Amino acid sequence: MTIAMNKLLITFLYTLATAICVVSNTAVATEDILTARTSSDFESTLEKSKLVLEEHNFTVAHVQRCDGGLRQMGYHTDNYKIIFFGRLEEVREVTRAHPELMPFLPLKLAVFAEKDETLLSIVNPTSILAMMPALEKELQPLFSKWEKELRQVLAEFQ
Amino acid sequence: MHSLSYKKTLNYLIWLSLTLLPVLASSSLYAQENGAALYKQHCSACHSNTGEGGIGLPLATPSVIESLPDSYIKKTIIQGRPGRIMPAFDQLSADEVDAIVGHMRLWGEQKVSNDTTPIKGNALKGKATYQQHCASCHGQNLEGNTLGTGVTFSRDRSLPVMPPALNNAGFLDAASDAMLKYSISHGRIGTPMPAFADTLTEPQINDVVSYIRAAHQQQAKPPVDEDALSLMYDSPLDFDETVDAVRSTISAYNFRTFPDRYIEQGLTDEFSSNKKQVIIRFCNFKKLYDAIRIEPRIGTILPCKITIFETEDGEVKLVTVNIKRYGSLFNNAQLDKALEAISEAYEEILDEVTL
Ligand code: HEC
Ligand code: HEC
Repeated sequence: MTIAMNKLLITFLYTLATAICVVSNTAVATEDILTARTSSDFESTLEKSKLVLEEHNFTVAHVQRCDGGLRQMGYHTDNYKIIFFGRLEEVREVTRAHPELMPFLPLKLAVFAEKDETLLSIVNPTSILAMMPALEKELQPLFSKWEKELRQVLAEFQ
Repeated sequence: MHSLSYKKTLNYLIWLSLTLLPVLASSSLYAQENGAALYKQHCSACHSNTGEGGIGLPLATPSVIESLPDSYIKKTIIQGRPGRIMPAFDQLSADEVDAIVGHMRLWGEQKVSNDTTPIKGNALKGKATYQQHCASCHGQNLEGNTLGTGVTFSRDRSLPVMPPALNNAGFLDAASDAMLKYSISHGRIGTPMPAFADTLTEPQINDVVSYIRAAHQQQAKPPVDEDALSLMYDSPLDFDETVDAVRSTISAYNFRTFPDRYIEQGLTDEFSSNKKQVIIRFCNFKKLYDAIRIEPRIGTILPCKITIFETEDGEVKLVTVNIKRYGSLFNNAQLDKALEAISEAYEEILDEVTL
């Protein structure tokens, strides 16, 4: 009897604690372009981005230097690079079933300097899917998962 | 006996939590303590953590923060700036919005009055004054005609702070006439916005305020683009021929091409990559530079690319993004215009290869 009560009490306290956590969690913005700003400089942020993506089990496929090309053509801009990344199985699966999604893959993270700070931006995958209603039902789980993971990636910089 | 006291404790706890939960739910205590955190999470990407500005305007400058009423900041947060990048944060609770305003007030108090009485002036006369004193910065039609918004230290700019659009529905709904008048009279010291208290008479300033109000009422909503986000074409050529044709057509249209990549390249080893999915990336540096100046985050959707792939039945197809529709995610009317030109080039290239 007492043990049962104990259990009940523990379950209850646990539920209460969870409820408090949920309630006090800040609302998640519906931003279409997820963006974070860090007070770290560009080079270290670029290196950290690759590591953080890999920690989230993404593979970094390629880094494109936008600034180099621009400067060569005489357009002055501070450091600006784009990281292409993804997971082979997910990319393969999605492009096989839905070639219309190829233009969005692999995923792209823009990393660029602003004075001695650095910004990181990525299109919210859920916003892309919202513009493709025919695929929404089937791909919602994957794209929501990506959004969640990408928010976690960005949160490590903010 | 023992279990009875447990029951009592349990009852007490249930009662306690029922009373406490609504308090927590309003999260007012939480929100107040977290104004700084909320600002950092939602605003700092564009306005910087210290409020010195970025893609968005500077907010912490004393002459700026003193001229922004609380009610104006709140409405700005909730409604954003349609067509001028700042999104509507309509998912934030009233307490969270208050907390953000509370945090911003640490930068300086409000000096402009909360008066919401409309100011009476002559809009026609105001238009002439506006053309003479304001249009060079805020645009012929109040649209904010300089490339880009806010401040940047990363690229050349015509002004250290880009003048905001004054015909923006979000802005005008948030701003009271008193705030407009205050901003025009006092200017924003430390920014390009001059104080007009000595240059213009009070009736002249009232006329300009009326002109800004009148212009707003004529503003129409931008049309919504419902075209498909992804565009697919059949190629009349075989796979390799298609790749060559796309590449040579792109150069003929004054775009630079980057080395081709497979979609899976870098995600797996070279031998395992699907070689029948090739991405051709291309770029016109002048257009890219303009786009970056208008919206520095544009690298998330540019440079342009056309993907060529072969289906299991041996059909060759080209697929690209509808860049105009994709770009609409940035909530930036200037960018929409810039992408229109890029979009036309895309169409011509694809037509030439596939027809
Ligand atoms: C030299 C360029 C320049 C001129 C000329 C100029 N402005 Fe401005 N104005 C600015 C800038 C830049 C800002 C933004 C300042 C800030 O807050 O950082 C601004 C801000 C404002 C604001 C506040 C807008 C907001 O979003 O809070 C108003 C209202 C305004 N100007 C009206 C006028 C009017 C009316 C005139 C003419 C009588 C005028 N300005 C002339 C550059 C200019
Ligand atoms: C994606 C970028 C972005 C984000 C995020 C953003 N803003 Fe803005 N904000 C802007 C831009 C751009 C403008 C100026 C619009 C113009 O130039 O017409 C602006 C204008 C403002 C203004 C008007 C300033 C003035 O002088 O009148 C206020 C106040 C403001 N933002 C507050 C906030 C707050 C608070 C947040 C967070 C809840 C926020 N913004 C988030 C981009 C952003």
